[in-house]
Amino acid sequence: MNRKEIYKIWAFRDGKWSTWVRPVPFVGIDSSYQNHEWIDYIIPTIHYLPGYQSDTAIILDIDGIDSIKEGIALAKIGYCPVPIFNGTNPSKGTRATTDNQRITSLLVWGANELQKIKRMDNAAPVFLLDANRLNRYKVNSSIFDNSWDIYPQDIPSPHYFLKQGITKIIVRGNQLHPDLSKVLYPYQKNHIQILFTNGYEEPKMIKIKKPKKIEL
Amino acid sequence: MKLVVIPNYEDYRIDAMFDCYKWDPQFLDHNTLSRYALVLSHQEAKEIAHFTEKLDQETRNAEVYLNNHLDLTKKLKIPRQIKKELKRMRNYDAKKHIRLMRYDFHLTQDNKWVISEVNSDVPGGFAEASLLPLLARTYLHSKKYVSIHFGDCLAKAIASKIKKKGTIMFVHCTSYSDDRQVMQYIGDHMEALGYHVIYGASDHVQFQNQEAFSILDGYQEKIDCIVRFTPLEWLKDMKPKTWSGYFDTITPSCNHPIAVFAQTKRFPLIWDELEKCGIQLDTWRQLLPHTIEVKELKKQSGYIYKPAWGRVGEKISIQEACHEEEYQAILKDVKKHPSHYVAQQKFHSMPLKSPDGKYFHVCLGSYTVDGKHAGFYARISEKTRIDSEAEDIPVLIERSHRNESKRNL
Repeated sequence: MNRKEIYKIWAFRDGKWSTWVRPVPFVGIDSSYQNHEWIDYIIPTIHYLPGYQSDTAIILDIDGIDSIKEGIALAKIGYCPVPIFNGTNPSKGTRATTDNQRITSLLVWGANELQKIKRMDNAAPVFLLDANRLNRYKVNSSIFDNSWDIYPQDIPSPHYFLKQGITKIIVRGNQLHPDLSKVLYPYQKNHIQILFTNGYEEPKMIKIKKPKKIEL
Repeated sequence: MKLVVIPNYEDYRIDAMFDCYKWDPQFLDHNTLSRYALVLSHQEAKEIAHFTEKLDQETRNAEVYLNNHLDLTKKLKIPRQIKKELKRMRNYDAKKHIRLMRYDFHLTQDNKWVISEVNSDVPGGFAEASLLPLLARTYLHSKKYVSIHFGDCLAKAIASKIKKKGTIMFVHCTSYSDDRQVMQYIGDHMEALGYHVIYGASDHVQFQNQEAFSILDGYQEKIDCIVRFTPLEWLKDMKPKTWSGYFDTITPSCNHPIAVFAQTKRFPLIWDELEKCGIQLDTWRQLLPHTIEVKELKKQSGYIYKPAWGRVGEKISIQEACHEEEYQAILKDVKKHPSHYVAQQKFHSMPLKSPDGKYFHVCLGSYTVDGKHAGFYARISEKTRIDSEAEDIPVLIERSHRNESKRNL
């Protein structure tokens, strides 16, 4: 499979959430794809959901590799995984703050797994994020800062969610990161419930504080 | 000007993403890649190219004059931190640098061209103005159209100013993939021509004896050219302050900070003074709607507010194109910071009807590189304000009857 074919599996035609699949991590696949022996390709078990819920979207904000694996696990119970990774890579030989490339082989693997799964056009979405995007620590000023944030424009609007019958969003992570908190505030304002789980416990409803400054 | 439907759109969109560096095809609920191509008649393309070169000449004359008469720039309200550095630009030599600008044209309901602004500092849309028209022509299977390859024009200009196989640093906000896509396209283009290419942030460039050096990990070396996509007004927020050198560097730069004078939307507020000093701005006057200080507006109607340092249509108070909440927030901000805005006479854009009966407003960006017209980049929107929700659209030109070269407009 080439990069376009892999992308087209994740962003399958007529999928309601397909246009939000970011092409950025797929662009380099032909040139940089490696099968990493250190990654275990075991699909995890989902503990925090009893099963597919058509009114619930999920945002996986965990390590990128785990995010893809858990996305496939959720696809197996009916969800539609939507990778929204958006980080770039440094020039060859340059040290960077964030390793955005390590998810590449998982995206290839995930495409193969998705081909084995019967997918529904109208399945609720699970957005895949990499919590490492916020690694901003620079040992010195020569380091390439390719950390990145999630912005409101990267996912569908609250109106689109509601139109698709989504009334709850579960964030699965270690914490609610500030960029995601800012993104989700308007959803809460539009009466979409925001829940949080660490992956082991049942998702609990949270209240997001109004961000200090809302951009025009 | 007309819109033509691109067949097999789904495949075209994938090809645009992977072959034409269109890495941001979606913004909220909006697809940002048009299903159409914008076709200009040969005459229209020629007319806009002509206007663009005239505007460019006037802008470059004005900026060189202003560089020697900084006292005239007070009304521009250039941020204090940048203003402090302007005197460093006295050694500016236009011949050494690459001057890139993009003027945004609109067709009005009385069938005239107007411009809404010049993207003087860091215009984008490089791949959309180079590869996307070629892709659209492939999908249209028609020999009726030609297009201008902006990337070729820019690459040629850069190559003319630096040594063969020289090192070019592409300076951008490294956390933003939509900035990287612009840099990556032109970087790959230059690399294919044999140049050594580095991607880094503005603080990866340091200056010694007015020459630029890269401090990027693994690439500590002298730079032969800086291609910058980080806006000047963002440089000032960099800490520690290592950016002063951009203002007096002798390393060829695209763009040099000389671009600051025309980048602010307050540029028209000093035209009267410039004209008194013999700087002609006739084409600007002909094409830009009347622009005044917010405080001078009083009760006149038919004006909109535009932020002095705004980008991509943000914070422009076109009421019918804004949500009420956004519109009120802009008015509040204008009241609080009137000098951060200008008031500009509103023009009425002529929407184009698509073959399937929809109406779109067009913003036709027209580039110059070192004074020569260098291609088109267009966006369309169902709204009158062309902003982040607008769609990128490839620009094609109808072949004239004569057997012409594509650059011979």
